[in-house]
Amino acid sequence: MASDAAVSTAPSRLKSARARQGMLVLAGSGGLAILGAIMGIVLGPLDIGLADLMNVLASNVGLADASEVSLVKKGVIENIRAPRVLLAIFVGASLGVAGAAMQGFFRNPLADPGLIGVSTGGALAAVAVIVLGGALFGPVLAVLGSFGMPIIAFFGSLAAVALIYQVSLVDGRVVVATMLLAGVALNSLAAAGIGYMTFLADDAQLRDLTFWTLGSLGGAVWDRVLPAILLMSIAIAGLVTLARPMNSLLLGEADASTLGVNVELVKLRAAVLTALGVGAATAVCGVIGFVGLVVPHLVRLMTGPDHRYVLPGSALLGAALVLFSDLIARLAVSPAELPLGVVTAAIGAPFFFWLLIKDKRKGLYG
Amino acid sequence: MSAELDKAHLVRGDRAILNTATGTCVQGRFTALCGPNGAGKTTALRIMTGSLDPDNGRALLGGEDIRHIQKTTLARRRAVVSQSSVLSFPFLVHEVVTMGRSPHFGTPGQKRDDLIVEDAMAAMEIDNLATRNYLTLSGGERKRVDIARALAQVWDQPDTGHARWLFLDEPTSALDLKHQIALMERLSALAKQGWGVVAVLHDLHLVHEHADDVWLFKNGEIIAKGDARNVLTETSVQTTFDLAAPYALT
Repeated sequence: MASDAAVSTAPSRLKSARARQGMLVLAGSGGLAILGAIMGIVLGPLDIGLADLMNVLASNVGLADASEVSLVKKGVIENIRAPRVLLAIFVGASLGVAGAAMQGFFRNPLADPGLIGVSTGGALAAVAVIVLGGALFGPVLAVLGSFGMPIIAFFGSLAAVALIYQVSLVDGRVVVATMLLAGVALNSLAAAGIGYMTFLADDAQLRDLTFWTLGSLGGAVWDRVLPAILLMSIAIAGLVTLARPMNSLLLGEADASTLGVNVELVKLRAAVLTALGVGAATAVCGVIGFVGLVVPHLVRLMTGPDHRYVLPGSALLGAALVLFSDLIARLAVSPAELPLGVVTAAIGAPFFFWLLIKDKRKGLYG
Repeated sequence: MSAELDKAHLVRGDRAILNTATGTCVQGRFTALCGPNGAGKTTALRIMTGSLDPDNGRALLGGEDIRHIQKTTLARRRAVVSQSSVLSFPFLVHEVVTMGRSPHFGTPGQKRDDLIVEDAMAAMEIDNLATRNYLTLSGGERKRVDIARALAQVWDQPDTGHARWLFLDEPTSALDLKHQIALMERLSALAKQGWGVVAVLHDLHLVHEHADDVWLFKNGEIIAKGDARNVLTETSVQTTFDLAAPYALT
């Protein structure tokens, strides 16, 4: 019996080893995100100390008055850096978790919302609104208020997911090459669309358009940030709860279905929530590439492919990556500012190459 | 308890893939579905598992129309091993087998997950592969993991009064001879323990030796069914497969 007992603990031991590692990665990513958030508030052209930050935080929850902090510093913290840091957290979390979800949805680790055109779908919709603006979308925007842009971008992203899925699905299996090429086509189409809008745009609109194509958190003011954050948190929370059925989905739709998963419903929810997260993120800060590719990969390397760790881990590490990328964007050429998309692409594109080289023989997992 | 096809009919294009097929697989017996390629075996299996809806007719499991059984309830009563797996993420073997337990999430049976996973791995002789990456396994090893996952899914007796059912589509195709024989003996033993076992199989020698019942398919119809020793004869095999000469089974 003694030896029986020793053997019978084996699978639970294996499982708890993975669980421990998963929790460790979640804690580490969360810690990194907190560090990035603090640095995002403290660092910048105006010198702000940790003490100032604590004071302002305490005064906001009524624990102290912030009279020791100058009004300028208080203003910078509350109205410039705080909304920006908060936006970075949610944009990073949305893109990270959306990347992980798309990779589960397409059953392929290369399905990044940027690469396959989900982000640009949202951006194209948003740009169309800016340029064609009043005439076509005026009434819609009037009704939706500051939710207008995120919601319109959401529909753009949703259309992109649906299109890519239809194109790349052959006999119930996603053809990876087709998926990536369809993404190339969609990205080119969006580039052409945005280029055409650039041609139509006036000067003020033109500055907006560069922002769309390269991405930036520079537009972070509370009025725009809050509605987008609300939509992104719905997307993040919704996707994280899909972990179990998405694990089954990795076995293939037929097998997932015989395991009792309502495949169509899970796919629909994954697609809609991804489009919501990516669309809302794109609407406030333009196209930020590669976060959805790099982050889930790193998490998967550390935790294994179980979505119960990959989805929340990608949200936390995505937040950390965007926070630190935005720090680089703000500080590298200070007082000027790099577009955030330039920084994430500089990190992500070499990573993408590394993935291709690493898995060259496996033929894109396909 | 039984798994039945009741006048199941399925047309694709202008061809009847399955032509008003009727038959009953009985709990406690190992039923083999045999016949030439494209004869309708896999279609029949998929209809019986509830994975595919027929155009006309129906499939019953334990007397209930399978379309009326709630999906997770159904998943606790019957497991399916499909022809090939599409898993392309680096799960470890014990994690893949544990996925078979997902229909039991939130039920009292969940507490036994670890023990059941271990038993299912032992049954398929893959306990030594438990920490291997599924993607690095050979085709035969993967197949044994897939079968272990299915075993884990229905390892416990489900709701009282219901049998455990195992449906397999060509489970022996990737296995070497030793594991083919081991699997057939395992399936036969499970049937003797009261499971319902239904498998699409090509090796008539293995079927003749291990299966209890056989359905012979030809052109979308079940042309013979019943006890394996009675149904599988030199002439019935010759007719089913359009062979030039009688086929020696022993």
